[in-house]
Amino acid sequence: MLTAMPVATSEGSRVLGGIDRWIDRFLALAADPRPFDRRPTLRTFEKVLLLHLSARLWYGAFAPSSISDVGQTWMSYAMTLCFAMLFVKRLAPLAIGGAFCVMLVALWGTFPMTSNHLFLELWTLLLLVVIGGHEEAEARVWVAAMRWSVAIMLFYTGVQKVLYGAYFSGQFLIVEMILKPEFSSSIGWMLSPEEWERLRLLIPNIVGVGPYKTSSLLLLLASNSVYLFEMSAPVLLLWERTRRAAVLVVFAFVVAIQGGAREVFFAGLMANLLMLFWPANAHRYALPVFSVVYVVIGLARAFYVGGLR
Amino acid sequence: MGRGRLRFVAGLMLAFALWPTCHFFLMQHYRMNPWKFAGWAMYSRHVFKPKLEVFLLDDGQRIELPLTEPELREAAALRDTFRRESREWGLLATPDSLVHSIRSVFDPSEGIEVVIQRFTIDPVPARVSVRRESHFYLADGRVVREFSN
Repeated sequence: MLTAMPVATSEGSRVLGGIDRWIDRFLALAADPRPFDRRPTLRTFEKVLLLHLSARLWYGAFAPSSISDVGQTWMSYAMTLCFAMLFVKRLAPLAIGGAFCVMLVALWGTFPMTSNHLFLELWTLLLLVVIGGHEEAEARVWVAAMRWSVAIMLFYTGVQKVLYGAYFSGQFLIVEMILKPEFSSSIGWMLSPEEWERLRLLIPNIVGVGPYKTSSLLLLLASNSVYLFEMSAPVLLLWERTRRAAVLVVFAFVVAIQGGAREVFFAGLMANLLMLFWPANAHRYALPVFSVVYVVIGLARAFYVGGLR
Repeated sequence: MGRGRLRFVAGLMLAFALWPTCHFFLMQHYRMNPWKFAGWAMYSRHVFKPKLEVFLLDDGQRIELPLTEPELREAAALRDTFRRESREWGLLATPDSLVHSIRSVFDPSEGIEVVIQRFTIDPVPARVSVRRESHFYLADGRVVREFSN
C-alpha cells in the first residue's frame, strides 16, 4: 500500500499535467498577442456590467417575473448599491458577489421564462466571482475565458439555426415579418410588393397554412448569411489578425439584428463583451459612453419608443 | 492564480461548451421551448402558445369542458398556468393539478382527458403543422399519455 501510493500519485499528476497543458493551450488561443495588464479593462467592464444590470432592473426590462413590484424595486436598489460599491476598490469583490446574488433572485423569479440575456449576464458574473481579477494573471485568464464564452455562444446561435432548419428557405424571417411589424419595416424591402402582399396574409394560426418560402434572392441570401456569419464570426474574433475587424463587424451585426428586435439591452451587453476582444484597453472611455447610452434608452422608453427590451 | 481554480474554471467552460448540444436533444425529445434554458437557440424556430382542451369522459360521451363556470375558476387559472408551463417545459409539464381541481367539482364515470395541441412550422414544407398530446386521467386511477409525432 505504501509503495503503491507514490505510483498512483505520479500517474495522477501526469494526467493532471496533461490536463493543465490543454487548459493553457486553450486559454492561449484567446489571449492577447502581447500580454499587458488587463486589470483596468476588467475594472471598467465590471462597472459597465453593473450599470447595465441596474438600468435593466430599474427599467423593468425582464421576462414576466413572479417577483412583486416591491421586490423588483428592492432588487434595483441592491444592484445600484453594488454598482456604487465598485468605486471603492476593496469593496469590489463584495459588489460582484452581491450582484451575482441579485441576478440569482432574478433567475428564480423568471424561471422557466428566463431570457438567454439573463443567463449570459449570470455566466459573466459567475466567471468574475470565480476568477476574481485582483492579480494580473487572474485578469488575463478572465479575459481569455470571457472571449471563449462569447465565441462559444455566438457559434451555437448559428449551429442551432442550422439544426432547426428554419433559415434555409427564409421561413423564420418571413414568419417574423408577418408577426412583428417592426421586423417587416426593417427587412420587408427585400421582398417584392407582390410577394409581401401574398405572404403577409399567411397568419400562422391554422394547420396547413403556408408555404413560408420566398423567391427573393436577397432575402434568401440574408437568411442563410445569418447562421453562416454566426458560425464563422467566433473564428474571426479569436484569430489575432482579424480580431479588430471582427469586433466591428460583429457589433454592426448585433446592432442590425437587435435593432430589428428592439432588444437594446442585449446590444449593450454584447458591446461590453465584444470590447474585450480589442487588443488594447477599449474600455478606457466606456463608462461615460455607456452612462449616456442608458440615460438615452431610459428617456426613449419613457417618452418615445415603446417595447424596448 | 492556483492550478485548482484554473481547473475548476476549465470545467465550467467545458460545461458551458457542451450544454447547447444537450439542450438541442432535450428540446427535441421533450418538445421544450428552445428559446429558453440557455441553449442559445433563440430566433431558431417559432414557438406558439399551445392550445389546450379539457374533456369529461362520461357514459361513453366526450364532453368538452369550457371552464367558464364560476365553480371552475380555480381550474381555469390552473389551465392558464399549465398552458404557460407546457409551452416552456413541453412534455415534462403534466396537468395533474388541473385535473385534480376539476375532479373536486365533476366526477365523470370514465375520467378526464386533457388535450394539448402544439402548432409549429415544419421546416421542409414550410407550413403550419400540429402535434397532439392527450393525457387520460381514468376513473380507476390510471394515467395514460398519448403523443402524436
